[in-house]
Amino acid sequence: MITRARPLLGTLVAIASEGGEAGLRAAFAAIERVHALMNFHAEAGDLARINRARAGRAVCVDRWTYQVLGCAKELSARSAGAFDVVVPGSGACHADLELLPGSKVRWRRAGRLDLGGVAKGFAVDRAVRALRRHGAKRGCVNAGGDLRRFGRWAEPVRVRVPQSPWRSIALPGDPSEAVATSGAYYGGHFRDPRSGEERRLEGSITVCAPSCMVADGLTKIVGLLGPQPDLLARYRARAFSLDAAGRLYAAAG
Amino acid sequence: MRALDAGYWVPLAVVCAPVAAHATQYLTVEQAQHALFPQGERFAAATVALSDEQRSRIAELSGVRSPRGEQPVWRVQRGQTLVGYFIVDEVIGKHELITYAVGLGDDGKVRGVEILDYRESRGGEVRDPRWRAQFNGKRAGDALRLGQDIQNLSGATLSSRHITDGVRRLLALYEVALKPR
Repeated sequence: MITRARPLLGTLVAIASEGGEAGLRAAFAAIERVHALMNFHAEAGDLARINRARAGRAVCVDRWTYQVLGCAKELSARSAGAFDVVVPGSGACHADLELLPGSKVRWRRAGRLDLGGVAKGFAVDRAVRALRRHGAKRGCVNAGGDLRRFGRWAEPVRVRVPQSPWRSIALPGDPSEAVATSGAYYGGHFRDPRSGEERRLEGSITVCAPSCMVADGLTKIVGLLGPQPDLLARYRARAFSLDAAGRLYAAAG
Repeated sequence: MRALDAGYWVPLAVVCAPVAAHATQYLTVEQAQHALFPQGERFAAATVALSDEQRSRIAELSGVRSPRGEQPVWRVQRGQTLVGYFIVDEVIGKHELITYAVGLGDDGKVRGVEILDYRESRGGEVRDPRWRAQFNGKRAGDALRLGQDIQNLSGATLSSRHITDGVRRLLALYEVALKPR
């Protein structure tokens, strides 16, 4: 098993692989590509180009960006806007961003995007795919709160206890699912995109799902709206809530 | 639209376990040198001793205070040609201590950043000089007690902000102390 870590996506990305160096390099290259396309500060990235575009003007984007926007819009529609990659107060909401054929997007009303809620999960998914393509038998990609493993892993994924991150609890269930956690680790909050209000979060929300992008997006919805059993079932996902005392709760309904 | 069924939370019986004060070593100094400069042939140690004046100049340029007077730097050469600089640095976060390496091209541009090792405290100790002292004199390559790896830990906002600040400080160090005049 080789493990490497680099500062990317605003966190420390650690990748472990039972496979060659080539797979590891490809996995980091995938994350760097997502970083360059979808990071808020990359001037030449897709995100910045979309954010500069005027209403009615189609912008050609990378197919990866297009894929992330597709997933984000679906999550918005299914959560009645509780999840939204369009920044509240920027003049638009998810419904104002049209996805056109041929990897093009267009604002009906111009707004601003922040892909922070899903891009990290997507990057983890792409890195896992790169490792597998290069023949890795076992691997793990951890981007500070978004984690996905494949191959045989004996130990469960552990989630840190909010406000005492040196303690952790083991998550029950399938160790090969993607896991995303959002919460008040070093002081966190959720922003409600419908009102723009910030809500302080005392604990953390963890979602396990087949893809890390979906898990990442769902943590925000569950954090705002509560367990949402129908939505979770639709994405074959499970949700957990962990409070600062280290008590774990599972979503049901 | 149909109202979403909110559902409810069911408590689960779980036991909290301490995360072992863990240390993960990713690369030794030598491995990091070859990862950042695959074509480098010679890595000549050229530790930079900074004067107080240089340190304040670096703080001015980067907005980050320089915590030490000496910076481990290697000049990277291929044959007789200088191809860049390899710098090892350390940053201290709220709960973590990270050693990382930066490769700079001969033009002073960042070629890459690699984490060498990552040590995490169990709360508070990171500010305690005794906790830090256990790593004193230890460079990557020395045996570190390996505890639980960050491989299976979710819910960590392992901030890379300190590394970003550190890289900015090293770029200023290049301007002040390495750049050919």
